[in-house]
Order: sequence, then structure tokens, then C-alpha cells
Amino acid sequence: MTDWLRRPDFSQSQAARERWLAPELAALTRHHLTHCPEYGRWVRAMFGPAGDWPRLEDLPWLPVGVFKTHSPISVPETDIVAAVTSSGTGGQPSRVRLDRATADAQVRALAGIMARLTGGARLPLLILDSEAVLAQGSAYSARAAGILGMMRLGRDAVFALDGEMALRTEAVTAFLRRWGEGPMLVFGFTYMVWAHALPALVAAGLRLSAAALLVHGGGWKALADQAVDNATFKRRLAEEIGVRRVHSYYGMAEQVGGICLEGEDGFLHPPPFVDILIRDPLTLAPLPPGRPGLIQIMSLLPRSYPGHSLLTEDMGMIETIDTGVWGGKAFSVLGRLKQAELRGCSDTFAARGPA
Amino acid sequence: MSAVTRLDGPGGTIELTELEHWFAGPAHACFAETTVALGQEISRSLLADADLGRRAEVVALAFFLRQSHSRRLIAQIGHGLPDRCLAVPRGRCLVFAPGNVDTMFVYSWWLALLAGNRVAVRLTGQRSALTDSIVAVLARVLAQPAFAVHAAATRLLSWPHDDAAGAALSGLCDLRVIWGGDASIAAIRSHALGPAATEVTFPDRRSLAVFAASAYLSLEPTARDRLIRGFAADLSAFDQMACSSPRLLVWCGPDAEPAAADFRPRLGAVLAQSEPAIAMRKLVNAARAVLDGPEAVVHRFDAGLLVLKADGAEPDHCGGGMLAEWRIDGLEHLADLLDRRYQTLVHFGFDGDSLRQLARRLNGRALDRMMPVGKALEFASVWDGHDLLRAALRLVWIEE
Repeated sequence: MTDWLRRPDFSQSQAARERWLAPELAALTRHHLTHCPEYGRWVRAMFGPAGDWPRLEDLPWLPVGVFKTHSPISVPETDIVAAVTSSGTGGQPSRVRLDRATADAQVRALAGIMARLTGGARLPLLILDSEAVLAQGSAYSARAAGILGMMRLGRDAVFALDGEMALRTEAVTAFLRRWGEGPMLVFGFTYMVWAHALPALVAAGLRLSAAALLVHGGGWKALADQAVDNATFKRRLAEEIGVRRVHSYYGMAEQVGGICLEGEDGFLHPPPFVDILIRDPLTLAPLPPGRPGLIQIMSLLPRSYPGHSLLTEDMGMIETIDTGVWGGKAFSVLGRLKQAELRGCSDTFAARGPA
Repeated sequence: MSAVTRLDGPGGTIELTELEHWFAGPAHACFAETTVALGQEISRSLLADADLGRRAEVVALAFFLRQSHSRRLIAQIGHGLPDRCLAVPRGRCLVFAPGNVDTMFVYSWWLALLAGNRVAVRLTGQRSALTDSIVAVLARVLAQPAFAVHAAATRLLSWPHDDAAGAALSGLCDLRVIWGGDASIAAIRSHALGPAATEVTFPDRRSLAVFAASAYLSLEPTARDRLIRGFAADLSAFDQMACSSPRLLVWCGPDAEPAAADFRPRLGAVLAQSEPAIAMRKLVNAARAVLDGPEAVVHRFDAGLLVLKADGAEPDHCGGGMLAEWRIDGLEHLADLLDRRYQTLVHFGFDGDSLRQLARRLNGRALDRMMPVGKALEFASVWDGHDLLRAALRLVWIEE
């Protein structure tokens, strides 16, 4: 299973991707059915007796929210070597458990995907975050997982922020002086980049190399209040710190490694071992391009836990299929499902903030 | 110290000392004809309001407040008292209203006022527009000169829940009524009551329905649809999040399977689509219950209804059209499956004797209400096993 991980071919057409991916995902579903009894119960309850699932849209899915309370596995407990938790913007964090093979596959998948932007070169790495994120116990957060993954791809990594989210001015200045106008990889979480790194770099009068590649992800939710969209984000980065190559990605703690990168077209592109479907939020029927709905994301990476086909709580839309240099689906993420107000007898003191 | 806001009068805040002084004032006459007239006038005003008058829960409230119902309540209480007893108000009543069941505070306030009490109602700071509209109607009616006594006996209030007002009024009241869940009750109970005060609490409860499968199957299609509309109304009120909203449907008898199979899509067809976020929460709750076992079947009718068929499963409930579905062989088996958490049994296809037999069999372990389909949320002065009107009274024993 190594080649598709090491050298993913993003140019493949959707038909070619599905021809290979659908049976692989069906086989992976059978693996989880066999080895995870809870998951088997869910598939039978929701989708009926196991089938062949010839098309992607036939594949069973699991609502991603279950990982906030449950952490089912499809390998023996003794094989588990790590857990990934989400920061959980909605409060309770998600948690998935990894065996060695799944953890390795995640790392190699990320490397293969990033090579699409870096050409495979190990670039000097500037991390727009604090090293403190890494020092948080055995179950590592998706944020730490992302940083660790990038550290394996880059070299001479420098953390730009300290534990208080203030700029480590000397370290950053030294990094920029050392690498000058050469290529460099800059990585951070969208919110950290926007709210902390960008203002701090501007205040310190620092600009990055014009050849810098900035990759960021983690979602726009925290920025939505500030009315920041992708175009504004990119314009400000270019104007204020001189970074012109900016790519966001879509990924989640429940599927670390299988990220969808933003292409030059501004849309997100699944690697060949990942695909997405958009489903009608009411009927759950698959939707054609141009129609917004819930994102279902499928990935060949999760083997130790049944997270290979997840119905997310993110809204998205397929923009095009097979139109640019990136083959397959090009999609955008429109945000999270709006949380509805809960009613009921039992909230004299509603838990929605001070009464 | 953050202040207490008064909602029923000229806006603004009240000093706590002023509130304490008010609360210490005298009670008014028990079961006064003017109080009956006040109810009638509120009832009329609610129904006359173009927006409020269209809401089912407001119509139910208006029905409760009309004078013929008040007179019946008074008569019933009178019949129930020992010969030598005279009913008088308890005195000062403090009501903690539920956060989001908009009309509930009015019932508690009204019954305590009818009994002659001074009534302080604490409403949540995050009131719905509906609650505010109802408060506005109450304030308008209370401002009429004919109801000056009742206006003087009423304070509709809001205060932050860590505030001193809760502590002070708790210490002064003769009756404390707490709606609102186990956590709220625990928090409010940190405020001591006076030595003579009593308390009525309405903790977290849940409700279910039991249908006789053969009785359902013997219905004509139009009667089935009527039953389903009634049950849909039970599920729709307060987004199925009230204590009395059925969240579990138990089919009884050997025909359970065909009856349920006929019923589900008909119900799914009439329930309104829930918001996508609620639809997702239903799905997540169902998935969690299935991961926990036992073997189950999920029947999903778009975003409107999700039925989790799994005997014994009690999935987390988020309302918006979600039912667990069990089956039993006979009504008597219910007694082994329920516990005190279960409040209301919505029933179809059973006679009064069977229901009374079930109640005797349960012997107080579960179920405080048994209601026909369509009336799950219909409020009565007897609720959760308490007679609220009776609780607002003190009895004087008089022997000549």
C-alpha cells in the first residue's frame, strides 16, 4: 500500500480515482465490519445487511460526532500506540486511536500530499505556533499532529510564537536572515496565523521571503466573526508580510494525514486516496456539483478505527470535477452546521452563558 | 451586586431591600372572584393577540385560565378538604420558572395567585420572544385598575443565578417551586428555606407512549391519520424537549411489527423537518446508542423523524422528532421497564382499568401522568405527582 501514499497522482480523473478507490474503500469497510463489532452494529442498523457498495455513495458512513463520546477500534487494544484528539471548537474533543501502521500511513500520506506543493524538497520550516502545543501529554491534539507531521517534512524548524502567543522576535529574525529570499515552508493554523502571527510579524516589521510557501488549515470558524474570507486572508498576507503562495487545507483530527489541499484555483482537492461527497442535510441524498450540503469524507488511511467514511458537520459544495490540473473533485467548505437552540424543561439556568 | 430586573412593571431594576420589603407584605383573599376575573381577562387577551393566539401552547394556557376552569378547580379543592378545614394562602410563594418552556411560569404563578399568595417569579435571563410577549400581556392586564391587588401581589423578575436575590427570597418564602432539572434544583437548594417553608420541585423527567398494536391495526385509515396527527402534536410541542414529550414508543402485543411498520412512515410524513443541526444531532445520538448496543434498526424519514428500533435502548435525546422504539407482550410488562425518571405515559388502545392496574403495579415507582394521544403536554394543576394549587394553600382546622 505504499506507492499510492508516497506519490499520489493528483491529476487522475474522477472516474479513474473511483475505479480504484471504491473497491479499496469497500474492502476497508469490510475490515472494520469484521473487526469492530460496534461499527458492525451501526452499519447493520443504518444501512442494512452488508453489501458490495459498488459506488462511493453506497458506502456506509459514520457521523463524525460519535468520536466525541466513543473511540471504537478495529485492531486489538494492545496494538494501539497513540490517540489523536481534536481541539473541539464545540467543546467536547473528539478522539481516535491509532496503531503503528495507521500512524505511519498518516505521516507518509501527508508527505506525499505536501510534495504536490514543495516538489518533495525539504524546506526550512517556520511554524506559526508555539512549541508548547507539543508538550501536552500522550494523546496528542490534531494541532500537534499537524505540526509534528510538518516537522518531518521540513528542516531547521523554528517556532515563531512563544507560549503566550507573542512573537519570538530573535528566533524569527535569525531564521529569516539565514534563509533570505530562498524557498521556505511556513505552517500554521488558520486562526493562529491570522490572529497572532500576522499582527506580530507586522508589528515587528518583518517580511517573509517572496518564495515562501504558507500552508494553513483548521478552519475559518473562529474567524467568521471577524468577517475574514480566504481572499481577504491571502491579500493581507501578501500585502503585509510578502507571502504570495498561500494554500489552505481541509482536514480533521478524525482523519489525520488525508488532507485536501487548496489549489491555485482556490478550491480544495482530495488526494487520490481520499474523496468527498456532498449530501443533502435533510434527505442525506448525494448532491451534484453546485449544490451545498454536508461533507462526507472518505479516506483509505484509517485502519485501526472505523473513521474511513465520515459524515461531517461541515457544509461544503463541489465546485467542479476534472477541470483543472488537479483531477477529480474540486470543492469548497462553507462552514459548520449552525447549531440550533435547544429548548426544554430542564434548563432553568440555561447553559448558554450567563443568565 | 448585580441587580434584580423587574419585568412586569415599569422596567428597570429593583433594590433587593425593596424586593424583600415587598415580599413581606400581606397575602390577599384565597379564591377571590376578582382573581378568577383576572384569569378570564388574561385568557381573553392572549387569544386576542394576533401572534400569540395562533400558538398551540398559548391557546392551551388561555383555556386553563378561563373562568369556568378556575371555578371548577376551586370547587374540586373545596370538595377534597376535610370538613373542618378552611383554606387560606400559604403567604409568599417563590417560583423558579423553566428556561424554555415558555408558558409554564404562568401556570405556577396563576395557581399561587389564585390561592391568595404573593408570588415572585424568577425568569431566566435568556427568555424567548414568546415568553417576553406573554409577560407583556400579563403586565398590560395587571395594569388595569380592577386588578391592582394582583399587580401588588406579583413580581415577575430576572436576576443572574449567582445573585443574592435567590438566597434572600428563599429565606423569606413559605413555598418554593422549582422547575428546571436536577442541576438547577441542586444549585437553588444551596439557598436555605425558612424553617416553616415547603418546596415543590420538578426535576428532569422523560416520557413515553404505549400503543396497543392490534387496536392500531383495527383503525380505519382516517382514524389512523387522526391518531397520527395527535401524536405528531405531542412530539412537535416545544420541539419534543418538554418533560412530557414522548421520546420512546412502546408497541404492545403480537402485532407490534406490522403496526410499527405502518405507523412510522405515516408519522414521518406529517412531522415538520427539523433544522439540519438537530437532524445531525439525532443521527449522532442514534449512532452512539447503536455503538453501545443492542442490535438496532434506524428508520430515518428525512430530517423530520428518526426512529431507533432497539428494545431497551435509551438514546440521548435532543428532540426534534426522535423516538426510541421498543416492544412488549402485554401492558403489565411496562412496570418492569420503567423507573422514576418516567413522567407521562401517552396511551392508545387501553382502557381505564388497564391503566389503573398498571399504576397500582408501579405503585409510585414511575409515571405521574397517563394521557391520551394528543394531550401529552396538556397542563393540569396536578403535575409530577404534586397538586400545585393545594401546595399553595395552608389549612386551618376549625372545631366549634
